[in-house]
Amino acid sequence: MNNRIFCLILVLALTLSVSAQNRYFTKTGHIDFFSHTSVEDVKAANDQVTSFLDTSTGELVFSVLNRSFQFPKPLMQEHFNENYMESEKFPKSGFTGKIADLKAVDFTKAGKYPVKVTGKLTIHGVTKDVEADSELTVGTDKIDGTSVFSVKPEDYDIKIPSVVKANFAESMKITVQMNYQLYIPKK
Amino acid sequence: MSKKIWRLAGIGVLLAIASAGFAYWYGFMRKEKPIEKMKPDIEISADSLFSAFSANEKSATEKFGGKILLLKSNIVSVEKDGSGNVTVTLVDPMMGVTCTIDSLEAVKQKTEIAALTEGQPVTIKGRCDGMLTDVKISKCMVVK
Repeated sequence: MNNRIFCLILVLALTLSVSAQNRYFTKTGHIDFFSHTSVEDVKAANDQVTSFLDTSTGELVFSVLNRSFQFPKPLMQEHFNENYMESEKFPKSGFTGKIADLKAVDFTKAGKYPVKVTGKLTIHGVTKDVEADSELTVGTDKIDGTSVFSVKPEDYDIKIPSVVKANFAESMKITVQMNYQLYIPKK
Repeated sequence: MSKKIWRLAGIGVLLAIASAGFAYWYGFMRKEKPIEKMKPDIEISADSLFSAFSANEKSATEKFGGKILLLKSNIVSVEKDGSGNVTVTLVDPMMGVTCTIDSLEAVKQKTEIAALTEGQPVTIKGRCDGMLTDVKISKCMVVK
């Protein structure tokens, strides 16, 4: 599944120059996650998310390197990469899906459009169907996308030792903020 | 004899306090070493780095992933996002090397970043995270 996402990204990237009018991309998208318990808050952010959006089909692809998540505490980052995400074995996480209600968006008219995004989320080598309420803000040659949803680590076979289980909420709040730009091929 | 036992017990208590203090510092108080104090593991041109990942991503990830690199290349673009992070793109806008200077480092390096010009050579130090469509370098700073 992981390979499918990255092949799709490569295909979308390569075809940008062929039909660029409908293709938007970012290499600096933002994804963060947050968990709150009485013991501690766990949070990390990644500002190097690569994503493509095809406005003609509603197709959406995200890809992140797990190592690019930055934590406020170095020890948390070490545990995240070495113990929980096993970043050497599973270096990437990704999403491939669609805007379910594409007709609700007029990409020729600036404004905010609430949409539903559905697709497959791959974390730690495990792929699950997900659905999230999102918002697209259409501008001139740019589109901003935001979404907030929850993920349970156990659904993705991420094992948290019982000794630190109290430090993590059952679900992680995931916030996605994308700053898509229209791809204009080099002449 | 009893003096010796008391002395050993005292040393034991001191060691226990020191260990607990170290564990607390290591777990909760330790700060990440700033990038300017990190010695580069590998010095390489951005073109060679991208070529290595394009030829064999798995072996390049094993070789460069998590390593501190000193990268030399000409600048393709410099962009600042709404959070204050600065992205310096090398080699190619889409399939090249993307270096992210985080907002805190960007404030410290305001002058160096202002001097960055498209097409000009640059040396950047940062940590290699791996490859998506581009090779991602994080925790970056401009060296010259």
